[in-house]
Amino acid sequence: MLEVTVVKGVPDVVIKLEGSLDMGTGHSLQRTVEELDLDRIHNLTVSLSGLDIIDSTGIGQLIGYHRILSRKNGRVLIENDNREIEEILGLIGVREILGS
Amino acid sequence: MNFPSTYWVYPLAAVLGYLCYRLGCWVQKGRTERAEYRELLAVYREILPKITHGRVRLISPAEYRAAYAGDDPLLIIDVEQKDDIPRVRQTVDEFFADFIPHWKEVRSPILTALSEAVTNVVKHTPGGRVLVYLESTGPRFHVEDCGSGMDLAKLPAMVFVSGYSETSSLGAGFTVMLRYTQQMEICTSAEGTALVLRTHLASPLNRERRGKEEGHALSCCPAVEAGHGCGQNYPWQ
Repeated sequence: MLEVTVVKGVPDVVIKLEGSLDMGTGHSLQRTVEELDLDRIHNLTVSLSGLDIIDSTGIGQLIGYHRILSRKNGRVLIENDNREIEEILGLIGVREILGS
Repeated sequence: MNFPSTYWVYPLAAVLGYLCYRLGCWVQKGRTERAEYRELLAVYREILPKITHGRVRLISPAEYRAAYAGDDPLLIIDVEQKDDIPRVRQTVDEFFADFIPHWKEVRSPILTALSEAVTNVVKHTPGGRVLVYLESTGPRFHVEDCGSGMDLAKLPAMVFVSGYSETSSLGAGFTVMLRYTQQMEICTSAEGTALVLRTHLASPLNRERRGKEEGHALSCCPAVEAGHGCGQNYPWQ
């Protein structure tokens, strides 16, 4: 399950995730982003420290938001101090992709 | 103009001749494709274990059945839709929490690898199932599907090239599975694919997570069936 908390609203949104982010749970994050309206978001900061599991599809979802935001000079920023989550981010090279 | 009554035979013979020619071409093409497939299979079967130090093996359905047909799974979990991905993880997580010492320390990479395999089933096939086993060294998962099989020609790219994908996805699933499992066996045919993920609780990766302790031999746990079959025929049985 994925719990999504909006810490700060548009335009520089901060979202905190808890639980797991994958293909089966990503719809909760997608719904929140749609409610905030991606067109009104400039930067999207996502805190992953509370996540238990993230897989490549979950990471792909974040990269998808980054691709959209970067077209209007925005970006996705990742906050994380969870060692296991950081390991998979490193394995896929997410920080290089996001430039963070 | 009067045609002899047997003249109708000539156009029919021409049509039949053409159809036989097309059929011959088709059969020949099929034979060539099958020969190419067998050749490719033979090459990959030899090369994959060598370049991965035995960590990735390509096996035939007959070998898969011979190796595993007698094993009774501890859990059978059906997979069909997106919601099944977290459900599989949760079921496995709760199940092993009672049987594996230090499960909390090693669970994350194992469940992530399993998640990737199950995601492939949901994304690319009509459905499948996960069979869960426990060996003396760690959990073993069989992720079977009823899809049309993997394209052998693209297998090396799928397994070794992080970011290789024919869809809009990241294409990093195999990279994650390779990193987080001890050994991966791939059995694929036109009737479906079975992926065997073997984990090792005493692997360097997991020893690091467990504070470099030596692995305990795992006791066998009672068989529990979470569900059975999804109404589809598995070529592996």
